[in-house]
Amino acid sequence: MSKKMGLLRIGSKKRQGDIKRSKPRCRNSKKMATLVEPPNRIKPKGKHYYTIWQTLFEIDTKYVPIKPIGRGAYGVVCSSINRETNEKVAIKKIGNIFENSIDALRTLRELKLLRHIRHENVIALKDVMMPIHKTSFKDVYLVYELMDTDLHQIIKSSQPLSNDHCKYFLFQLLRGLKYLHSANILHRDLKPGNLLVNANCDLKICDFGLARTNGVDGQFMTEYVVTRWYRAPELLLCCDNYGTSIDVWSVGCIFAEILGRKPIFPGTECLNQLKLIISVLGSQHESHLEFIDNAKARRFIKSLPYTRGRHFSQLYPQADPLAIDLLQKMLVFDPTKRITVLEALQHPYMASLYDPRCDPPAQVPISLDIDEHWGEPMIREMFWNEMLHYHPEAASANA
Amino acid sequence: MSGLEELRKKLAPLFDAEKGFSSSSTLDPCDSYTFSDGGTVNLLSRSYGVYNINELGLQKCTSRSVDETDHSEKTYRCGSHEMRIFGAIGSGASSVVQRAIHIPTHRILALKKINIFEKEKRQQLLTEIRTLCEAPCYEGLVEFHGAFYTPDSGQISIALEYMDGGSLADILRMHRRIPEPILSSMFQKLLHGLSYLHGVRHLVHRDIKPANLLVNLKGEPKITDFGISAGLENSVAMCATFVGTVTYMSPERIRNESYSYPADIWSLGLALFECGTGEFPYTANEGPVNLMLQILDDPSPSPLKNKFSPEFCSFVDACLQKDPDTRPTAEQLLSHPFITKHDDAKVDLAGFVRSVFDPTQRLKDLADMLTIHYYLLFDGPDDLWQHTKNLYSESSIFSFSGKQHCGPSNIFTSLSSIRTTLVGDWPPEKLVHVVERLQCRAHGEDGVAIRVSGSFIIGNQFLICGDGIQVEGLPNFKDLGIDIPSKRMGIFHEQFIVEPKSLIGCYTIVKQELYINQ
Repeated sequence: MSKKMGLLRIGSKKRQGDIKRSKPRCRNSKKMATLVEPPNRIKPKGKHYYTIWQTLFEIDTKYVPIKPIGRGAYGVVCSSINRETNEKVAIKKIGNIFENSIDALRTLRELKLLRHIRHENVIALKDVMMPIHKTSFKDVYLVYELMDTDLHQIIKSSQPLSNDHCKYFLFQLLRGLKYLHSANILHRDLKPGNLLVNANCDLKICDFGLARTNGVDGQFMTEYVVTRWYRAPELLLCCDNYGTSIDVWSVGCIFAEILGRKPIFPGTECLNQLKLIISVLGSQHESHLEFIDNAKARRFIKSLPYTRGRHFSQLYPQADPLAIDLLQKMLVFDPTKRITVLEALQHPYMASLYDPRCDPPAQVPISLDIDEHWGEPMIREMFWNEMLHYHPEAASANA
Repeated sequence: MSGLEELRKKLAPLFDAEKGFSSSSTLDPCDSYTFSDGGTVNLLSRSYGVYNINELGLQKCTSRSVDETDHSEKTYRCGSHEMRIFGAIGSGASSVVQRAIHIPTHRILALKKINIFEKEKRQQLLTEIRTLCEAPCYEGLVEFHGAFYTPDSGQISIALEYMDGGSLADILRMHRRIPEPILSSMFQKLLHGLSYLHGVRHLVHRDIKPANLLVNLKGEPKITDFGISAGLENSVAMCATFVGTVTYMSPERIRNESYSYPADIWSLGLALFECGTGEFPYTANEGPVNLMLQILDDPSPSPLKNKFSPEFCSFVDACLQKDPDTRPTAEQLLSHPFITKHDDAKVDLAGFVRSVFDPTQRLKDLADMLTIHYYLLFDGPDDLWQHTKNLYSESSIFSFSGKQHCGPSNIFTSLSSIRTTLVGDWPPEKLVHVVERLQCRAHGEDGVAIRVSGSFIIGNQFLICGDGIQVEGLPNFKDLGIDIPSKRMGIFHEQFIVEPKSLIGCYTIVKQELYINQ
């Protein structure tokens, strides 16, 4: 850990827009986590304070931050050591969580789901820190197992990927997804950025903010979910009774991106997305459009110019023929004709890796009872209850 | 299982686990901006010059574009330490809006907070700041007051004029529809703003909709968030989750054709249609594809001729021409009969706005904010206390201990003397206010009478009980577990009469009475 990472490298690579850099002055970015005094000089028991990329972290004293590893709309993430177990973890701070109820509910949904999930290809949530004050906490600190990077970074890097890499990534993704689907969970936002990867090629699915149970609670699912490039045709066309097949489509898009090192359907908006899909798959026969329940949408698909499409072997000439065959079966326009996760694992491309005896289903189907109309007091209460699962000793103290 | 184990052995590591993955990829967010010493964020744009944003506010460092050579450099000092930040008043797809009081001027502002670390939002922010920086105060456009960066949350905050009424979307939620004479008067002013954006600033708004058309209690309608969508246009964020089920996008945008000012006219027409009829004219709950296909393929929506005036129908129809080239400009629409029809009618916009919004809750919120602000000044540090003079006018009166003090200087001197007494010999601890009870009622047309009572305790900061508006940085009273009776050193009662100044969001204490008991 004494080696300092080169945090910023000047490159001639073109960047989007007309933003450009001045002289590189990122000295502050090189700093590791810094222990600081608590705000208001009130030092609560069991907590200590670190500044990480100028963000204040109020964390349990058993965790010692090492360095920042990422940030985005969700907040800041830093690697840390759990001094009690000597285990490396990633701590994610989500600041001002109640400012945006949509984001708060997404986080809450993830907490509820991850508490039940135990699978080597799904990220483990190890802890949710207890805030000092139930009634006024604004930040949430989530502790995950630490992974090195994500598949998006791998794909866009120059790192070579062999056929074995591609196969192993796909296998792990399908295996994790099989577990989720057996628990009646649709991920609904599978994309390379949501697949965490280690140097040894281990892969784990993360970000369950849009996940849902598969229609068990009979909710009318009107949300438009899944990052558009990975969105299945039935979602784009507003078919209400979608199921596990939407995740399979996303897997197909991801696999194509692994093979081709760029997105296969980078649509600029919904109609363009559909045009791109048809331009690759080819015009669809009438019998393959019966799943579309919206007359206007069906008419639109039929009105697109005729095309025979492009065979995947032309798009990915270096790929294993069995991989091409599997990809073809995953990226089927009609969800009723699309391969299932189990069938994909049994496909010849995967067969040498898949042993059903080693992949037990989830213990019980998981149900979520999250109401999207909850106000802050209820959301706050639900967060607190999730935290109590990781800190049962706090329940009696606050009762 | 043997197949899997064999594969694992064959796999070459993706990267050296000790070194971690290449930092130039991993730390992508650093790519287009740098932190200089002291936590300043430099946002760079070839077209827009260099903006330097830190806790002290937005400073424009260099002007390179030809347009700007005639102007001196502009600095907008509106730093985070000068703000009292209260709770959120709205949350959009890309930002959160909060109320704040700017301490030096005691003005209530709206703060739009944007996460700077999202690469996709930088351009959006640059566009908005540039527009706001360079547009003078103009009828029909929300006014810009500055910007600053908050290190702890990693957000850039843009300070905007506080529109104490709300948005047309808020009105529609409560009122269902807005009468034509009101709409005529409102849209005339909005068209002035849009005409300015198009004709003088050469900007396409891109996100005209009822939620971005705001009103204040004076009845002034204004457009906000201009420029907000520009940055989203080519960003990855646009590929993200489709937020909401309604779009005000014009047909040419949906077709991915080039578009310009007429796209805003289309959106304005849809907004007017919705405000007048109480309904968005397309079916929105069958998904975005269906919605877009309706806009492309179906005839443009038209108000029912037997329910709306010919002028209203004509205005809407003109805006909703499918062909952008046949839509009138904002300038031309200012001469449309729907707009000119009510020119001499003296429409009472202020009266309408007041009749729509519940005055009670707004009054309570205002009283909470002003009370918290006053006592944070009184019990706060000396450098902030100096700003208190601005709270009083020449005719303000402060009564204490049987004496009356008039005018800012006398009142400030008297209050400072009381303040010194309360500080006593215990720094950093002193006697501070704990507001236990707050009552308010309307005073005159826009003023508020506030009656406060509570205790003095030994501490280091002001506290307030109850469930009113919370301010950032002040601990919640419930969390502290303080037993007031046992700590009470004295009791105070204070009354304020507060009246608005001519500037929206600014208030003056015109009368103040303080009673202290041991």
